[in-house]
Amino acid sequence: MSSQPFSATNWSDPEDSFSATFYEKYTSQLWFPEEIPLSNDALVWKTLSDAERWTYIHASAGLNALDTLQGEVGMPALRGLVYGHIRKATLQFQGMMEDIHARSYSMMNKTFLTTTEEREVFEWVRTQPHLQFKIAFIQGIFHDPDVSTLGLWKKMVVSCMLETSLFYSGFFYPLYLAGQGRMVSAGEIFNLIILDEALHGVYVALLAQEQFNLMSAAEQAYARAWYAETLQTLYKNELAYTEVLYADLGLAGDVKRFIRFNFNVLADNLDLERTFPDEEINPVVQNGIQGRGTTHDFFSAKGSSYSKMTTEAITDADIDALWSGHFPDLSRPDLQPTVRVSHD
Amino acid sequence: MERWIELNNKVLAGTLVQPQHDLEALQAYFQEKVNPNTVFFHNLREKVRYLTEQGVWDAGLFERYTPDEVQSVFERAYSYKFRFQSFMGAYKFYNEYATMTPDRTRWLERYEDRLSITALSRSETVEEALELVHHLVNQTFTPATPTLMNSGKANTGRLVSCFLLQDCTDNLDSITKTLSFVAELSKGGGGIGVEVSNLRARGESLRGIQNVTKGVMGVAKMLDNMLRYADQAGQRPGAGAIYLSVMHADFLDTLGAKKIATDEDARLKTLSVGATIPDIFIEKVRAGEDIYQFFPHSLWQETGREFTDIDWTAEYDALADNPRIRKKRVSARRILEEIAVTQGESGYPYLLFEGHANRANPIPNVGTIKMSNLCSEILQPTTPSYFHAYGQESKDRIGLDVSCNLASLVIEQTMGSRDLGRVVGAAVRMLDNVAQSTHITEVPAVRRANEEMRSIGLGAMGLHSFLAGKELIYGSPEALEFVDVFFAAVHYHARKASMEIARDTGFVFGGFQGSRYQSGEHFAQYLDRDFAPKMPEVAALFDGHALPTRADWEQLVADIKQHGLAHSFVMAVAPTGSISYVSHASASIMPITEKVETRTSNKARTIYPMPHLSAETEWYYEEAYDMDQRRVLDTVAAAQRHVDQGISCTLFIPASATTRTLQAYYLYAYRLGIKTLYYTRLRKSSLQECLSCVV
Repeated sequence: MSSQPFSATNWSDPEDSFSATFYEKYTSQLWFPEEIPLSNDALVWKTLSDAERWTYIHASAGLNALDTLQGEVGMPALRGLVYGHIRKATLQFQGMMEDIHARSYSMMNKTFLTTTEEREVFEWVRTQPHLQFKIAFIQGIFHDPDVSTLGLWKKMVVSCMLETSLFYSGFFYPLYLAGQGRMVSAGEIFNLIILDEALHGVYVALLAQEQFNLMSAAEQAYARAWYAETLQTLYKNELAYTEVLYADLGLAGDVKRFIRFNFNVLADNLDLERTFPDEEINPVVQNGIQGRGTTHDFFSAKGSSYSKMTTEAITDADIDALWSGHFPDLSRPDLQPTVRVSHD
Repeated sequence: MERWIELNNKVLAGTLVQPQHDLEALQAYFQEKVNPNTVFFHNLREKVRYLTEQGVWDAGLFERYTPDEVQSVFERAYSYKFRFQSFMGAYKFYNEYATMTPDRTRWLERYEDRLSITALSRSETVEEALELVHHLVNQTFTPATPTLMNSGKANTGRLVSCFLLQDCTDNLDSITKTLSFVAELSKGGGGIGVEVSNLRARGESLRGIQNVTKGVMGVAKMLDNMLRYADQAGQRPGAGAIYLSVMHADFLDTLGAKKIATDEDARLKTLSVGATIPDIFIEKVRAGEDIYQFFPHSLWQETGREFTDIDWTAEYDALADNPRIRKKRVSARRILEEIAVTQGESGYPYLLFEGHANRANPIPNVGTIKMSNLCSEILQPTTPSYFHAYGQESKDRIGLDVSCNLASLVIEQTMGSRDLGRVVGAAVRMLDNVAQSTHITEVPAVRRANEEMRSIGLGAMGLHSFLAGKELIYGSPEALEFVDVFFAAVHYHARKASMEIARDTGFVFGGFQGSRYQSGEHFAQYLDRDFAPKMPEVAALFDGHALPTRADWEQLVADIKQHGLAHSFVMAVAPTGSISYVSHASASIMPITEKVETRTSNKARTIYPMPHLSAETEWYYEEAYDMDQRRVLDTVAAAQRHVDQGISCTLFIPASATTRTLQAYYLYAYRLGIKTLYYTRLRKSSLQECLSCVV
């Protein structure tokens, strides 16, 4: 018997001002890869050069491994340590989203590759030294037995590093191609993933800022130094990984600028000093990461700007208003909408 | 990375919008891409000889004109010194419309060439061609994409690409026939609407064996696959919509197929869904009552009538009370809510208010309106075809389907011409030519309808960009009055041109006898009062245009009685995608969605600042999602009074809107007499908005 009584989740009494909002946002933008007609890209895939295909598929496979790491190790670690039912629920949902992302990458492999090619790509992931270093390094921090405020902050920080910076060496190429109208359906999947990851990075960063503010000045100084050193370690590894993926396409320079840009976004989210000076990044890629819905032709693309609908019944008063030549006042506060999460 | 794409993307890449980069992109595109990659000819004669020999241009076209006549049309086209005003316009035109070498590395046509060829091929005489090329180059109106793209080519695709098929009746011969028609039309990149309400529902009987049929979804899945399989040689996939009545027992199943999280086997990937809604359904919604949905086969067995032959509003009570007809009972409001959920999540279904469409049907003597098309602006009576097995084709009966011959006035340039009647007349004559030049032999009911009914659809685009340029607010009383007066005048001139063609050629569409055109009922409102501007701001916009008066209408109605009309329908307002970019106009009569649009297609991600976007006009470019949608619906209702077919009407809602908001808009639209609603588009709250409400 546990000495502490177990409480239920009370969504009317949230433990902070933002977790419930993130939870709602996550549920409202839930998506599944089956919704995107990936096979539309099958013919385009055949027109890519060998080098382009290689980069595309290996960048995605690397992302698959990182999303698997987040879903399987990172989110459960954070969820176990944070306080509060709503926060735990939100992180758990986030973990499920990571698994959906990993599955999307796998579906791309299944759509575009032969079984032999697929096997080779997964073997590449298992043996690529920079990718394995990145995973092992972050996994080490997730598994670190230090669960003090500082320890938890570190775990949150590396999780944010994945969401906000380390994924982006992989995102660059799909964004770059989709911006030129190539691999547009797969590009939509990447857009949906980026919309998710952007939120994840911000949410965990908000949690991390809380932890940071709980620390003493000395601890904070140590934390900053640790951050700078960790970032440099991972940054150097990322540069090498970028060379492997992008040197043959002549894009390594663009990607490295993009990585520095995203490390700066990370610093902003965590409320820490930016590491790198501002640089202009490739505008096509930049427009690709702006988290807005785009205008598109409904007949050929699905679009990233849709989300789940909240139901609210129309009332007799609404009907009466409409049939007497008026329009109902839809902003009545007495009818709180409920989020629809299942179909009946 | 191509430099113009990079420059174009810079418009949005900074913290401030920088439209000047768009002009840099435009310049770079011409200097570095188009100009160096255009095949050079010393003179027109050489160009014509080469391109006809190469099988690019139709040699027969040049036999209809003397070389001097051809020369005069090209000279006129080039004399206007046309310049594109946005990168997007030029990029679209040169990527999608101008003919290239087969390896797609070099251009064989420039803008003026394409339009000269279009004018020559869509005219009978050089005088007509000279008139038409004037309008085309100056973009007072723009033909629909297939007409602009394929006119005058030797190996030509079709001039029209939008079709409505009603032949999908409830037997296997008819279903497979429909699938083969869809494949034929889809391989030309067509957009196809198919009415499927006659199909028996899931779980009905087949040859007396109970509970075995697979219902509408079985056919819908096949259509969905067929449209993706038979694409236009990989250029663009076909697209289709099925129209299904809310009174059909499979309606909720089919609606579920557009939901975002649903089983793969029950999902329609690209096929659109339209819901046909009779008045009785809205009455039940209003009363908060249940409604019966019917099983078509059981209905047929009991009454001997097809589902679409039923007037649901008039006959509902009798059918509902008949215990021998299988049906199920559902809350009408719940169905409307399901429609709203699905629309909010996926954009679909389109809504067709059958009662409004049929009350305004000018030719009820031909048939009832049962369906619309992929963009929900085509509303014409269709009649079913009956097909029989191989060897018994002689028993086939060919009904009436629809092919859509469309063009759109560019409101800014039409108004700038100071001669609306001249513009509309030229547009109607061009569309008449498109209809006469189209023979869809593969689908006999489409061919028959086109030959007998010769329907055309003239619409308009660039309303919001025109209003913003004139510093008028979209949906304001002034704007609504403008729309009312403008469309009334377009209607007058379009109908007049149709009457003149009938008078001058002797061709009168089948079904004119006994129509509401002949009786004059269709024009009652114009004999009742003048549609002249009352507000001085609006009157000023029409300076120089001769607007039709009540006396003009009286004369026209008399002329129509005497000479008939050449076209069963003359107007329809299409959503306009590509052609509005080329014509530097906002889409259709909808509000803009973004001051600077990011558009993703299979070609590239391109950035498009709205026409004339500047510090001064910005204020008038309110984005659709920020508007009360009543302003959109009021605008559409004002135009709808003058449009014999329909108007593609999109609703734009923020992510915070609930199904109640959407349902209120549906019912508001219904109350205004709007015939169809197209997509609902929902804008996600951005990360910034999300954070600002959090922290």
